[in-house]
Amino acid sequence: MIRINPMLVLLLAIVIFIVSISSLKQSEIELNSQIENRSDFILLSDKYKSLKSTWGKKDIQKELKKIAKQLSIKDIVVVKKDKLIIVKIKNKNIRDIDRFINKILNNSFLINKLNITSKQAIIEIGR
Amino acid sequence: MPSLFEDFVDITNLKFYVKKLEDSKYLCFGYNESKILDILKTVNISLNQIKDIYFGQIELDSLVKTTTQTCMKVDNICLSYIDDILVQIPITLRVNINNDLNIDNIKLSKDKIYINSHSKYIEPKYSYILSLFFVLFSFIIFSKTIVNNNLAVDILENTNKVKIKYNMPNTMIQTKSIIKKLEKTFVKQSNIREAFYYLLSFKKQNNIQILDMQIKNNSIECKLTDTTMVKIKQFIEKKYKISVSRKNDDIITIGFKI
Repeated sequence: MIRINPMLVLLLAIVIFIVSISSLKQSEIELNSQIENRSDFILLSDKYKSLKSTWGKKDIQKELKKIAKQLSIKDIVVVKKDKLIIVKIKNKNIRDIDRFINKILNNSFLINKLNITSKQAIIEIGR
Repeated sequence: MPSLFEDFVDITNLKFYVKKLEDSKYLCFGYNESKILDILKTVNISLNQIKDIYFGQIELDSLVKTTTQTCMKVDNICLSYIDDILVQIPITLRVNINNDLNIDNIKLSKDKIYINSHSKYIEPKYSYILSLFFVLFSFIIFSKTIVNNNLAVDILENTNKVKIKYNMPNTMIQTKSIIKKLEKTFVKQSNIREAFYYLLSFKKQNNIQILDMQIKNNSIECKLTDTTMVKIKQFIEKKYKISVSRKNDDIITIGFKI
């Protein structure tokens, strides 16, 4: 019968212990870094979500038509051009144009160009 | 216990084994490990080949008590019990020698010793206990490691779920770049609105007429009447840098960077 040297057994146990300690340390470092990244990520994702939901509107045309309908403006032309949406509004009543512009500016549209005269308004909205 | 025998024998280098026979009666063995090791060496037996070492006095006692022999022949040595102590009888005195005993048939007792040739600092028993202790702790630590790893994986999975939910790019660099771009847009759009409302506040205060207004890139240009160039310039210069200013008849054209 081969007898195992108890000192070897002890040595092996100590090695296993050291390995387990080092793996625990490593896992703790990794976990802490993940937790840190996670909190950074939460802040970033909230910011991303908020900015995207504010400035990343997809259906601009629908939104514009909705505003026009709310204000009972009929003379509105919405033209889609590449990455732009051009809105032309002609109205005899300057108040209507003012109200429409006011609504547009209070909304989160990406305004590239805005040209207002007393008779018409041309707005270039980015998508 | 060893101190009991100090006066009778030299106990240096001796180890002791005590067996309780009955109340207040003990049988004590003193043995020298190095001598045992030397003997094993001379007969060419490695310690690794030996499972346990027993005391002949204890092991053969049961055999003798069940037989009537006065002398046993074990491996050509004549052994006998005299006053309950196993002794080797000199060849010249051998009488009534029985047949050879078959040592393999002996049922061994629990009284055994272990020769520790590995370390003089720690007994094998304690080595095993310590080893067990370390292994147990290692097991607990490994469990904690697994829990930590699982938590890390959970966090990662959760992050990926949020990424999918918010339609975010895969890397943080991409996300940061998009956020930076959106923030720039936010600042630009806020500036446009701020400038627009600043101009409208002038209109409201002075009851002027805005004939035309153009917001393009980072500048605003507007044509207005019913005010003076000095007045409008003073008002705009409070906040912005004027880029264009001219007057044609009653129409003032003023432009500024936002």
